[in-house]
Parts: sequence; C-alpha cells; structure tokens
Amino acid sequence: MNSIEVEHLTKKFGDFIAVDDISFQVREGEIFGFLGANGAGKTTAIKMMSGLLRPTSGTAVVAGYDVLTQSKFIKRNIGYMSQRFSLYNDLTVFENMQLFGTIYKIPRRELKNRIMQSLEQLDMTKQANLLVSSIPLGWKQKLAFATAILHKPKIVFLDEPTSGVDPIVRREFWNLIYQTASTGVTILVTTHYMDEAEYCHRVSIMADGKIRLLGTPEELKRQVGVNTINDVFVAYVKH
Amino acid sequence: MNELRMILKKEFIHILRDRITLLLVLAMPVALVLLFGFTISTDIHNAKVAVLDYSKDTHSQRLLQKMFSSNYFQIVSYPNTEAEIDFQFKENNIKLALIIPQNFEEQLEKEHVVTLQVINDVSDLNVASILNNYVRAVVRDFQDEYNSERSDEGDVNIVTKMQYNPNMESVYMFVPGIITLIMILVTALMSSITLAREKETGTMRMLFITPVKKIYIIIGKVIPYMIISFFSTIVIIIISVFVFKMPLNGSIFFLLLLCIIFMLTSASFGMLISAVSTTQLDAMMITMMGLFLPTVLLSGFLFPLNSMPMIFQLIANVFPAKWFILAIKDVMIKGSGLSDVWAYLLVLLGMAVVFISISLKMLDKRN
Amino acid sequence: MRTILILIKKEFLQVFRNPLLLSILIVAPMVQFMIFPFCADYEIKVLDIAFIDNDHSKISHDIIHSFDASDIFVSHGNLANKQEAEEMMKHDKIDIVIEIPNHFEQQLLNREKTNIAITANAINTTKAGIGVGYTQEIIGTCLQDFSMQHIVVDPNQIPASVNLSYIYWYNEQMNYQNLIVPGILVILVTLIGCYVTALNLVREKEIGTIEQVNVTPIRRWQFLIGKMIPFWILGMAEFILGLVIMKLMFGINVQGSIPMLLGITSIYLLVMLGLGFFISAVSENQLQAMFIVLFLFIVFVLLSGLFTPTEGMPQWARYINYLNPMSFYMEVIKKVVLKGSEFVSVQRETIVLSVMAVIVNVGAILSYQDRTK
Repeated sequence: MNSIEVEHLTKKFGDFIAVDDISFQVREGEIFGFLGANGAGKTTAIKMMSGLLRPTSGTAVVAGYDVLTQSKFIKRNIGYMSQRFSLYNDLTVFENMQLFGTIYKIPRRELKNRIMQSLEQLDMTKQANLLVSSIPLGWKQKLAFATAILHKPKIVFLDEPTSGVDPIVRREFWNLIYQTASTGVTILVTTHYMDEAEYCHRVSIMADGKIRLLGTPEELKRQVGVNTINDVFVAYVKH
Repeated sequence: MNELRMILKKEFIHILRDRITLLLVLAMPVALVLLFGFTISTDIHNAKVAVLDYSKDTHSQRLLQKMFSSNYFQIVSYPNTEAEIDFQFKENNIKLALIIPQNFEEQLEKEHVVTLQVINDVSDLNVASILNNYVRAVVRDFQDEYNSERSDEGDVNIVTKMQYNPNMESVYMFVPGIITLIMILVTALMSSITLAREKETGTMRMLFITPVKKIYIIIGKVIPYMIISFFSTIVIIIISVFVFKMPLNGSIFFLLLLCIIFMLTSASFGMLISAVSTTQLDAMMITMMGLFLPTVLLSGFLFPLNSMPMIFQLIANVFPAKWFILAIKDVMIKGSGLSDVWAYLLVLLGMAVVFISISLKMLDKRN
Repeated sequence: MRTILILIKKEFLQVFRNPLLLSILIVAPMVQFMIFPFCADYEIKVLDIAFIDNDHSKISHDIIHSFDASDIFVSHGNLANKQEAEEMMKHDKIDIVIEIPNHFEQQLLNREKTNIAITANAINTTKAGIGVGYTQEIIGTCLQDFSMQHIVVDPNQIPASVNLSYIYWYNEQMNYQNLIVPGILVILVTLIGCYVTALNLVREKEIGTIEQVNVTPIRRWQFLIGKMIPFWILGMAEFILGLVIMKLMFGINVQGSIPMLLGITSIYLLVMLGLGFFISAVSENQLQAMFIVLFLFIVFVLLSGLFTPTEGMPQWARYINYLNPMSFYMEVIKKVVLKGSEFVSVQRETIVLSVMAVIVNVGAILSYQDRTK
C-alpha cells in the first residue's frame, strides 16, 4: 500500500523550473529520504505534497487524497515540519503544542495527556513552561517534530529537520524518527547531510529539480560502485 | 573602499529584487504630493450657510448679495426662527448662520451702528475661524461702500500687500512640509527598517563578524535609500514647481545641497532608531511615534509653532524637520542663499553627527 | 469554536508578552492626548508686528499703542525704514508691517484721501488672512475714535459701522481641543485596527509561522476570525481608554449615547481590521504592508477633514472621500460626541460603514491564500 504517489509533478516559478517532472511512490511506514544540495527542489516538492503550494502540472496522491482537489483531507492526515523553525517564539513549549493540538481538534483531556507524554519522551518536561525563544535550537527542532506528530498523522513531512544542530541531537532526532516510523507512520525527510541517508529505507537524490537516483542506500552504493552515500552524491550530482 | 562597494552592491540587489517595495517607495511620494497639492487648502469654497433675515429690506438684501456673490458661501436655507437654525446645523451640515436683526436699515441710518449675529459651528474651529474672517471682510466691504456713498469726504484707504505670496496660494506652505515628510519617510523609515530587518533575521550578526568596518556596513545600508530619496525629492520639486506653481527663487543647486544635508540627518536619525530597536515592528513604531508624528505636528508645517505652549516650541527644536522647513521655505520662496540659512544647515549637520556617533556607540555595545 | 478560542488565547498571550507593543498600546494614546491638543491648533495666537511711522503724530502713536493692548499682537516697535522691515520679515522676525505715511494726521484733519500700508508675510495664508483682518479692525477703530474726537461732522454723515457678534455653538469655550481630542480617538482606533493588524499578519508570513498554521486543516475564515477578535477587543479597549482620558484630561463628555457610539465604533473597527488583513494578504513583507498602510492612513486623515477643512477640496476629492471610511467615522464622532446627535443623524454613516465592513472582510478572506500559487 502506497501512502504517497507522485506522478510528473512539476513546479515553475516564472522561467525557473524548481521541480521538473518527478515521479515516485512511498510505501506505508517507510522512511523516505530526499537528498540534494540546497536549491535542488526538495522543499518545493514537499510544499506541493503538503498542500502549501499549487503544482504547475502533474499530480500527487497523499494518504489517498489528491493534492489538487482534496488538500483539506490531506492536511488532516499529515504532519509538517518546516525548514525554517516556524513555531511561535513568544509562546511557551506547552502553549505551542496546545495551540496546534487544538487546531487539529484533539479533545481537551486527550491533548493534555499526549502533550505530557510527548514532553516526557523528549525529556523536556521541565521546559514545558519556558518561552520557545529561550530554548536551544536542538530542542526547538525536537519540539517542532513532537508538535508535527501530536495529532498522530499518517504521514510526516520533515524538511531539513537537523540542519544546524549538533551531532548528538541529530542522533537523538533520528531515534525519534525511527520510533515514529515503527508505529506505521510514513516519513518523508529531506536533508543535505549525506550520512543521514544511511538511516533511510530508501533515498532519492535530487539535482536541478529532477530525481537523479532512487533506491535503498545499499542499491545506490552498489550501482555507483562506492562505499558511502556521500561518494554516490559526489559522483552522481557533480559528475 | 572596496568593502563599501561590496556592501552597496548587496544592498542594491536587495532593493531591486523587491520590486513591489521599490515601486511603492517611488510611487508613494508622487501620489502623496499630488493628492496633498490638490486637496489641502485652507481656503474654503461654497461653505453651506443659513440666513435668518428679520429685516428683509434693501440694505440687508444688498449685504446678502455681497456675501453670496463671493464663492466663499453658498446659501442653503432661510430659516424663520432660531430654533430652525439648530436643525440646519445638525441635519444640513451648515457651517455658519447669519442673523440680520429687525430694522437693519433704520438702525444703520439713524443710529449708525448695527450688530449682526454670526453663529458658528465650532465643532470645527478651523473652519469657523476662516469663515469668520470671510464674513468680516464682506461686512467691512459693505460698510465702506455704504459710507463712501453717503459722503464724499476723504477717508483712509488701507492698502494691503501679501508679501511673498500675492495670490495667497496654500501650496506655498504645504509643499515644503510635504517634501520634508516624504524625505523622512523614505530615508529615515527605510533605513531604520532595513537595518532592523538584518538584525531580526540575524544577518547583521554575520556581517559584523566579518572584518568589514561597522561604519561601512551602516553607510552601505543607508546610501541606497538616500539615493532613492534624492530621486523622489527631485520629482517632487519638479511637480511642485510645474504643477503647483510653487516659486523657486533661490538657486536650484543650493536647494539640492540643502536636501542632501537633510537626507543625511534623517538617515542618521534612522540609524539611531535601528540601533535601539530589535525588530522591524519596533523600528516602525518608533519611527512613527518618534519621528513621523513630531514632524507633522511640531515642524510648523501645518500648525503655527509660535502659537503652541512654550514647552512644545522647545521640543520642536530637537527634530530636524523644523530646521529644514525653515531653510527650504526661505530658499524656495524668499530666494535666500547660504548667507541667510547657514545657521539651519549647521544645526542639521550637527544633528547628523550626534545621531551617527550615538548609534555607532550603541551598536558597539550590543555586539 | 474551540479552534477560534485557542487562536484568540494565542494572540493575547503574544500581545501581552511583547513589552514594546503593549507600551505602545498604552503610551501612544497618552502621548497623543498630551501632544495633539496643544500642537494641532490652527488658531493664530501670536502675530509679530512692527511699524514704520513716518508721521510721528498723535494718531500714529495711537495706532501703534492700540496694538499693545491686543493679546495676539507682539509689537516690535518702530523700524527705521522699509529695508529694515523687509529684512526682518525675511528672517521671520515679524509677520506684519504697518507703514504710516508722512503728514498722515494732517491729511486726516483736512479730510483728504490718505493711505496706510499693511504688508503681511503670506506664505502661511491663514495667518496672513487673519492677521490682516485683525489689523484692519484695530486701525479702523482707532481712526473712528480719532475722527469722533477731532473732526466735527454733520451728524448725518457719521460713518456707520456694522458690527458682528459671534455666537459659538457646540463648543462654547471656542476650544480647539474639543475638535482635535475626538479626532485623536479616530486616529487611535484606526491605528490599532489597520496598522497593528496588518503588520501582525504579514510578520507571521515573513518569519514563517504562518506556514505551520497553513499546513493544518484550519479554515481560513477561522484563522482570520481568530486574529480579528483579539485586535477588535484591543481596539475597543483602546477606544474606551481614550474616552476615559478625554473625560479626565479635557473634561469632554460624550453628548450623545455612549452605547450607540461604542456600537458604531465596533463597526468601524471591523472595517479597519478587514482592511489591515487585506493589505497583509496582498503584501509580501512588513515593509510593503507598512508603506501601503501608511499611505492609506495619510490619505484617510487628510481627506477626513481633521486637519484641513474639507470645504476647500475640489469636487473629485470629495468623491474619493466617499470611499474613505475615516471621514464617515469622523462625522459620527463629531456628531455624537460634540453635538449629541441621535441615531437618525448618523444612520447614513452607520449604513455606509457596515457595507464597507462586509465588503472589506469578504475581500480579506478571499485574498488570504493558504496555498501559494
């Protein structure tokens, strides 16, 4: 069963083609990596799949719904974490989670439990009443993730979730991703850290708006004949 | 110097990329100056008036004739009682009512003194005082005519001369104010906001880490807006001279020099504002409250400064706008040169120096 | 409903955590009330006058001294010649110069024609017009007194004088503050309604928080209402604060019905809020939003007749004014606060504002895109 099916998806901004006719499928419960340099078109692709941006042509079916016509239903079933930290800095950790939980119509009592549970899991219980602006970036990213999955979405889009955070937090973050995926949630994650690709079930390498390579990390390495994904990337994208 | 060129280039790229903002910045001054020029006027035409004439004799008719042949007034009703006048004020929005007493003619001829009643709607005092002035002029005219008809005696002719503005054009007063307002808006507001934006998004810190001198970073941010503002100023001056027939009696080069100095002062005020604010919102609010409002109120451009309480007359000295308006009026209308306005220029330059040094000091402390 | 409530809560938390915004909300009205009423005043209270007395006679002294008695004129005494007068006028030392010719008194006594010259600095036309008016009045009285005392005339030829007595309605103390103070209320409500909200929404766009909201299944009208209600409440609170300051500082009581005033104000606020959101929906960053708001604000204020009389405007400007919500609201404020008008008198304005509120808000909802093109 596929939770994301993308066909010939294209996005043009004027003359500039940000995403150029990409097609792929993501299976349920899969961790799917979107690799590529900055400006390769990863964010644009994610924004189209999550209903933030209207595609120029092509279609995508997300969680069984068409992005062109049924974005309202898609939004109920996805979680999204933006490249730029976009929770409210002037609200506390708890208030942010409460705000988004309520918007997703999680019942009041249930919401409180879930927030508490989630904060415990993140080891952030003590920070619940701190303003988001005052906590370090690594924790902010973990909070953003926890907020994105609070309403138990079927699919989570993570756009560069680990950029700018230290290696320890990155490790923790990937643990969170694994835990979430193990409950059957599909995860689509973009990154420009090539080592992170090794954690994904399947990766696609994007350059200039096109998908150049797609497969499991092992397949890609074998195909190109190198030992790390980084080498794959260097060999393939830079020619 | 090379560094400065780099910073300037970066800033120009920013400005040119954000076309909408650029368009707004360039179009707004023109739109404002046209709108101001065509609409602001302290002259009143066709003010609605009601007349309660108890006499209805030849002399009262003649007075009214005089009154309404001017285009100041437009008679909208002839109420019969004073109670009706109240209604006319509330419902018909008349601005003034004139009551001519009974036996107007008789009083005039026998007692030589007669008193008319003028009722003003002073919920708008400006209009009221201007209209009263018109009424006074009309009545004086009537009186003089009446007197000269009755006697051929010599009398005193009061000759008035309206110096600098013989046609009594309102634009003479407003155009310098508008130029000031727009220069402040573009230079001070834009430079304070873009500086604050770099702070808000954190790019300022990146720039400060580089070995580029701080003063270059700041100058590089400010100069492009000074150029835009200078361009707008020239457009405004052209419009005011050719469309609104504002005189330009002084030297045009001196006028432009004056504008450049004022831009420097406003830009340095903008820097000061950005030094104390951390977000764009802060910068805007402070510019509005700390610069825009005082400029409108305390620069003498709309409201006569020497009629204000002393404390405000003193406060007004702190804001650059007052000095610039004094200077630009003198240069454009009176044709003054450097020998007349050097003191104002010195004040403006002095302010620029003070603002720049304070803001640099504050930036040093922060980083 | 719960969604909207949590959005309202969010907005209030943010406002109360922003010390600058809060201080502006509280300090701005205070400052405006402290500055505007004293500065925004066209009334000419001071006129600097000087004389060139070529006659040095009793009547010329009488004329010069009669200006000393006036509250408005500040006399700078006798000047030597025209050059000196011109120099002083050029440097803004004097507003008006009166020149009395040689043999003036003699000519008067001989009943010959003679001239007095008044020169006024007319760059400020209001000041010049009013100044000349007063000057003529004072000189006229002087001359009349003089001729009564020194010239024997045929009783039939006593010059007649038509005097004016003024009655001031709706503002008996002739207090400029009574106009400007209610005007500040209008400015306050407009600033909160339009400026603060426009910047607020576009800021969420610029810093990216709006994206996190847009990806949720929230409806756009829910989001806008969640933004609108808090600022509507703030605007009303600001208005009430303004009313209290108006009463305490200036002793101005609302002559008409306060509930009616609050009702119409809330409609006006809706217009401004909708306009603010519309602007923020169509602009890309705070800078653009601010420029548009500022432009509209200046135009609104200008055309509303707060600072300059609308009677002097050309017809086309008056037509534009039909689109200016501020001028309708200003009319309401003037009528209800100062004149104590009943609802019938402000019915038209209320209807117009309501229609504007509907149009602007529908426009705001339609133009707010949760998915970019």
